[in-house]
Amino acid sequence: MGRLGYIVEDERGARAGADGGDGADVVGAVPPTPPARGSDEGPSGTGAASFTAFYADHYPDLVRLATLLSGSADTAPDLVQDCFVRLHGRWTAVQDPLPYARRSVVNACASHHRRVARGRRLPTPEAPDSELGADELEDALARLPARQRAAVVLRYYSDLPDADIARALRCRPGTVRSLIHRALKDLRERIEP
Amino acid sequence: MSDAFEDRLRAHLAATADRVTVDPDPDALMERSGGRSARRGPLAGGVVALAVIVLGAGVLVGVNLGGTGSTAARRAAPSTTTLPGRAGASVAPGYSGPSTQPSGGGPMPYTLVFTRTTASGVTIRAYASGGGTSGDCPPAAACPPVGIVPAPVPCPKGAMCAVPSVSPPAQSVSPAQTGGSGSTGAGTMPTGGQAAAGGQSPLVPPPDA
Repeated sequence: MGRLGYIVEDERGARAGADGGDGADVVGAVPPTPPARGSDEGPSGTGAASFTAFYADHYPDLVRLATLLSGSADTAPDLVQDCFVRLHGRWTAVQDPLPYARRSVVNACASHHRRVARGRRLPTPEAPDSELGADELEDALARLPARQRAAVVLRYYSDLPDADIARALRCRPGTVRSLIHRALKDLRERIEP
Repeated sequence: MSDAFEDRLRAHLAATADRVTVDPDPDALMERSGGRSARRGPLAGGVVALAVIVLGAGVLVGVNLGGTGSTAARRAAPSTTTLPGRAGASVAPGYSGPSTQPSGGGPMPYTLVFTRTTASGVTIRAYASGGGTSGDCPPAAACPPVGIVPAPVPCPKGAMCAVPSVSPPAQSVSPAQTGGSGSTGAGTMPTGGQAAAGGQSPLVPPPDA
């Protein structure tokens, strides 16, 4: 594999026209010095080993994150595997793989919700207003809009700061705070009327 | 700074995540990655083939347009043809037969009402068909009844000619008013008595015919 350590790409436009943005940007700008992982990392050689190690370290957490975001423990492993497949193809170009993978999972879960909504010919999950079930907090979370739920999960499960949540959601930190504020208000109104 | 609700939310998310059993399978990932790469091959081939076809078609179209330079000119040509000797009179393309317009010798089936020329040079001539009879039929002649206006000249094939309007003939005649001579066939002419609609039937010939 050739030396591709300094490639900085932005596939935002291409992804938006393809499948709704399952992919993620390559995080980070052109570094002034060679990255710490070295330019010889890639799908072959030591890069393959580092990818395998990254997969073993972060796959469980990302599957749990996808479960919370998608609300389906059956679909989450497939979504995360797809994200790792994409990450594997771009392993040499991605400089900070964990934010990339996290953002990819968030986008994949959002796309999953859109597909489900289209398949059921139903509006987005925030529309139904039937009575809450036994696990009222789980049901209330499921009825949040996808971005609000992602912001809540990334904040209260992953304990990420606003800047990292903003990077994962492709928005500004102020937007993250707004999303979380509105989500908490909505959750409180549903659970504690 | 978090309140009880946020602590509850945090605990709920952690409990939900802990219930998820995760089994990393790098082999499955590699298989899936390989399958995706293998699927990309035929897809890329198809894209290349489609691009070749589109480019080839584009080249052919470009040669056709740019080779003679006549296609565009043909498309820009006027869609009407002016007959020689009749300035401004336009008929349908391809029409070379006799005209129904009152310009030359021969019968004049229509009366010119007005002529207007637009700012763009289009001349509009309006003709009247002579009050229900066929053109310049003399008063004493056996004019055909209204609705059976024969074309004064045969309309050549492919030309745009005036289409005479034909009213439907009488469909029925009351036997009580026809004196036993009424008919019920479509298009037949009553020979005696009056038509059912009262007054003279459109199909009744003139008295001196």
